[in-house]
Amino acid sequence: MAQTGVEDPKAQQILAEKIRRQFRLDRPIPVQYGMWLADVARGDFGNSYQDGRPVVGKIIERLPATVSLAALSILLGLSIAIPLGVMQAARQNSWFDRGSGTFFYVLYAVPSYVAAVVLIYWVGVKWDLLPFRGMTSDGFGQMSFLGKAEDLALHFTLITFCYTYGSIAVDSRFMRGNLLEVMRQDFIRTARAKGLPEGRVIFKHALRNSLIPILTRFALLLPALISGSVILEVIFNWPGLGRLFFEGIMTRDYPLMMAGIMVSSSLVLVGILLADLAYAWADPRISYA
Amino acid sequence: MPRGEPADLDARNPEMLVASEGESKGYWRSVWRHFRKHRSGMVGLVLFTILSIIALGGHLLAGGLPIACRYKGTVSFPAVVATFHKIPGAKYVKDMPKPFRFPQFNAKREVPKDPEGWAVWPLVPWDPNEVDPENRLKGGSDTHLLGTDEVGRDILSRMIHATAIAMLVGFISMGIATAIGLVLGATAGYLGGWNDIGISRLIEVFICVPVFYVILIVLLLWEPGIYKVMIVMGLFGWTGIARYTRGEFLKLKNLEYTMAARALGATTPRVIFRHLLPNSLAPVLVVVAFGVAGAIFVESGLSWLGFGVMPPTPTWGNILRAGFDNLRVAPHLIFPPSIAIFVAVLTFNLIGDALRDVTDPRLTGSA
Repeated sequence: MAQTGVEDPKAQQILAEKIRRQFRLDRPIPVQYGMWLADVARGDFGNSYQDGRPVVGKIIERLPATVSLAALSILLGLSIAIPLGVMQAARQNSWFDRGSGTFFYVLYAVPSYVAAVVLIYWVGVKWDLLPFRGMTSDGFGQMSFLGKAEDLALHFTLITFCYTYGSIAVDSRFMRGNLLEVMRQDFIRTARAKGLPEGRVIFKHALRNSLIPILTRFALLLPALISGSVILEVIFNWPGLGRLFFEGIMTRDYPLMMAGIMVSSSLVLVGILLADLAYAWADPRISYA
Repeated sequence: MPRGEPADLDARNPEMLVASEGESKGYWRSVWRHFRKHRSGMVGLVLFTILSIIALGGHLLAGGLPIACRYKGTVSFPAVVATFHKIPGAKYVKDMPKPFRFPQFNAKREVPKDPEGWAVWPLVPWDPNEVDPENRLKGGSDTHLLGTDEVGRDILSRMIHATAIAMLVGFISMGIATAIGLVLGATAGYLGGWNDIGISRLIEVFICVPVFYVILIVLLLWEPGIYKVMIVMGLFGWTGIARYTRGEFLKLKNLEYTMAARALGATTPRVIFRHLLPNSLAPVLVVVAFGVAGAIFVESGLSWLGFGVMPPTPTWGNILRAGFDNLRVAPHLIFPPSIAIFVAVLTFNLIGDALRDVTDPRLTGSA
């Protein structure tokens, strides 16, 4: 109680009692948990111990940084991975297929934080090409609109790359496998037999059918990206959710920690549900009825 | 090897006994035969051997103690004993020879003083925690091949000793996960019914747990330590193994040899452990191999954040962090751990992929 500045032992006791009541420590743990759940159901995750502000507000404040990064990473990843997988499958076992396949396989074994540290050293420190701390430079508020856009784009470059290269490696392999599987089916042989050019067979007939499993990947990827990669956000000092929860853990900010676990596990559930629904929506042969 | 029951069945017919024994051995032999032809898998296996040698070498490769030496008339092998001491409890079997067991005894200074003494030193004559105060954050040189960190410790020596930590974390955490996953997966798959429903729901609950946060929180609430990292990773990393085991058991439990074993009156545990488990292990090993890669990845990340393995124990993650904190002064620190983490993850990915290829009957046309 030394830090409270209250000298009188009786007042100290009263204060301790007050704090205990405030944090519901006078109730049994199951009751505490039940009250926490009831609060969560009302959309209240409690107040942060650090500054007394509502946890929900802090999460909403950090959402844009993480969501924009996740959206950018997913879009970029898929728009590279799908064409790459198609090209690999179209020229199966060619020099290009093997070369790019091996390259991305090896790249996939590079942990994102290792890539981040090495890139920060080369691109950020040694060549001084790109910024690597945070999302904006100092004096962002005073910049013109174009200046702001440029500043954001520069800050996004390195972290987006580190976020994305792994999923490009996985998705292109996945895409290649799917397409090759579809290409073995009867309706592709029919399409070829009726004399369609190979490009049309691939893009019109095979590609659409092979895109369905990618939807699942998309829905499963979403939660992982939204709840943020803790290490990457810490390395890049990114003002996102991952770093918010990490700081919450470091400062033993229990309401924030509980919210972090709750948010990321619910997102996994939502992701799995979305994957199942997307599957049924895209492929009429599947139904959960 | 599941050879008990079917062999008993044909005990009166020696010819069939040989046949049934040969068949069950053949499964693992055929896995190995296909694996040997798998080029990237063999690359992974070679890398794995190199990593294991480095990890097991320990003080023989890098350390402040001589491998063999003659000091004051006695010949001793301090580095060999130090390497042996890495096994828990080994101290009570064979203690360190006399002067070398005292921390104040500096072998490097004392042994050359003895006129009749001689010593064979390890390749890297630096202990991972030995401080060389004149060389701090220096790049590679003849004395320190890969340079030194912020307190003047030899990076090559720390890298070598960190290899053992990384491999240990990978294997022990996946060992725990495999034990849990196999038992739960086997129970769910073989018994079915309510067991299956209960365990499947449990798996789904555990899939939703954000493991990384949980590890961070556990390490914060308890005192951090290397074994806690392994235990937590094991306790939360078994879902994949359980799912694969369950799938394998669902497939295997309706095969003839299972029915034969049950018809002969084998108890449920016997059927599960003697007959089904050995035959479902290979596909599960695929998940385990990727799991080891993942565990090494997570542990290095945790050490990078300053969690988990406590200083001064060397890990790839905390060497990388030391480099990141001194990026402008000592960038030489980031490359050795980066390459090591990459190679370790690549190794287990290669082995995992190769195992998947050779245990997939569609691809090998047998098994």
